[in-house]
Amino acid sequence: MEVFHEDILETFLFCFLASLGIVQIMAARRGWHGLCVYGRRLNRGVNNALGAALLIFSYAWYFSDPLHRNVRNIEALMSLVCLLLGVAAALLATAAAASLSESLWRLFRPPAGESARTAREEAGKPEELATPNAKLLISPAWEKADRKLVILAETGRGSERLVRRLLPYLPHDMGYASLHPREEGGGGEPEGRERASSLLGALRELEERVGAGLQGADLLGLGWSGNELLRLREHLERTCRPRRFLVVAPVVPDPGHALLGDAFLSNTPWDILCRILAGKPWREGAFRSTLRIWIPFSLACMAAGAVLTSFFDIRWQVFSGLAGGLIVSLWLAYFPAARKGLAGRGKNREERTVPGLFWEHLHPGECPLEVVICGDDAHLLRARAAPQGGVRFHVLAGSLRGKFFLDRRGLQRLLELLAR
Amino acid sequence: MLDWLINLDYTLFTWINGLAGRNMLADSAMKAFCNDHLIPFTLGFLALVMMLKGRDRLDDRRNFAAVVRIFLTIALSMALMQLVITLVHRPRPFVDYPVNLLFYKPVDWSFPSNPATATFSFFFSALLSDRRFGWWFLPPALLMSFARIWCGVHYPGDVLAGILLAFAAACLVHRLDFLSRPFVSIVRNLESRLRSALSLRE
Repeated sequence: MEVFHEDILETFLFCFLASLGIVQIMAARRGWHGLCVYGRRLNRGVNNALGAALLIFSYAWYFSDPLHRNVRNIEALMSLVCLLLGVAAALLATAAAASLSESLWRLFRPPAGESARTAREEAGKPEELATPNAKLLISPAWEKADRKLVILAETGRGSERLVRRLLPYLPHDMGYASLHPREEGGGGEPEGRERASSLLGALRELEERVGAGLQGADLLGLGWSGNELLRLREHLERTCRPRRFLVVAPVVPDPGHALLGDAFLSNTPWDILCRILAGKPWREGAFRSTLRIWIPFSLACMAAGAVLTSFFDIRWQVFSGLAGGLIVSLWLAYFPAARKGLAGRGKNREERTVPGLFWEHLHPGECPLEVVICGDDAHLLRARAAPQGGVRFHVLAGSLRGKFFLDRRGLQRLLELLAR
Repeated sequence: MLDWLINLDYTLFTWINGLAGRNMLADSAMKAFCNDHLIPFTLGFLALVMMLKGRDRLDDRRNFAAVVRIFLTIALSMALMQLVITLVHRPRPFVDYPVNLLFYKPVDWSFPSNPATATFSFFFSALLSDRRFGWWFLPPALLMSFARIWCGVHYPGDVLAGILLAFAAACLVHRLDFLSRPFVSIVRNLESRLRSALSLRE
């Protein structure tokens, strides 16, 4: 059998470039800022032009070669493999470019409002303390300050970076302490109850370290920790008696459809990956049980596939046998896994997380509660009747959770809220 | 009966193939549509557009499932086609008759048409999943199948058999849910994991 190695490579490149173009156009159409290959906000015109140029170039380049016009070259199966690999490579390349460009923007571009930096930095950097439950950042002026702010941040370095960007802009007379929970499990998810107790532990550690209670302080929860703050509100009202609760950019689920949101709107693929890995999915019982079912199937199917393709002398003998066996093993292993409730009919992690998140905790309490919603969740707030009394909502229009949260007057409006 | 059908098939073939060689523009267009890569890859890219075109995540889930079913339909129709090829050995038209050949000489059997099976698998499966967007797959599939007859490499009967095979495979994949359920479930869980991994960033 003839093998057209060069054609395979060119066909793969053609599929890759054309798919890249399509992904750019569709990302612009969907408003997926998280997949913007040049970082920051998507520009529809730029993306559409880039996508169209890639599509036109790929077709013109590939079909300008006489070898790709009515000449026998690679067969149908290899064309299909080239198409699938090309699409996968285009998605991966988009993810890598979007993550890298955004990281570079974060490194080299100051956030909006940099010129309005206060003299806070001269007052000294925050003291860093490591506790079993969290990392603490405490302002030097904490004890003397008239107003105190306790920030409950999300897990991860990205969240810490966000808080560190925010701190220099806080009012001069405000003492602050920020808690950064350790990266174990995902806050707000089913394991959120554990996370909540971990946050309570971190608050207790803060109280021990600073040697004073948190009475009268403003409690600010950011992102997923905002959801945890809502969950702990009644308990904290009894134990800490804060001045008010501020929940900023919580995860606002859509309970009707059991959806938490869309990370592609503003989170880069790298942020998404970090978030998933922080939850340590390989430690989940369901994951391990599924793996225990699938591994024997995959070994048997791949071995059988390799033997069959070698015996019948099918193109790319071992490789095609292994790949085919792998696909068949996924199909076969699904049914015993589904019988054990590990796949299919059972609720997935997201569907288990949505009930009891956010909406159920919005009832009026003893302390005032203010909730700041990101622009990407505003439609959910409009769709549901807001609870009456005791809870104030603010919408940061134009800001998105995973990117430019501090851009477009987001920082200014947040500071105005904190200064009240 | 079979002879009558074969004669009808040949008559139709001579009508369509007889049009070749009269107009250079039409011949060039048909050669392009007949190409092994142009329309199959274009249909593949249309499937990618279908996957990403939704308005929200619920739409996306439906579209991802539709694309999984398209590829399963292709796999099943190809398997059915191989089965038919082992039973029916029909030579290409240019082997038995003088034809206007505008294409290279394929070495495999003529019945059923491989490109018609593949392209109509895209069409039928997409149509059964999405009654509006699915129609976008029809013109390329029709053009390629017609071009194969024009260029002298398939009889109309080969194309018709390919279309029927594709239809049968699409119906099977969409009717027998257990065929696609495992893959749809895997894709759905992956989508859910990725897109619910929200985090707050500067």
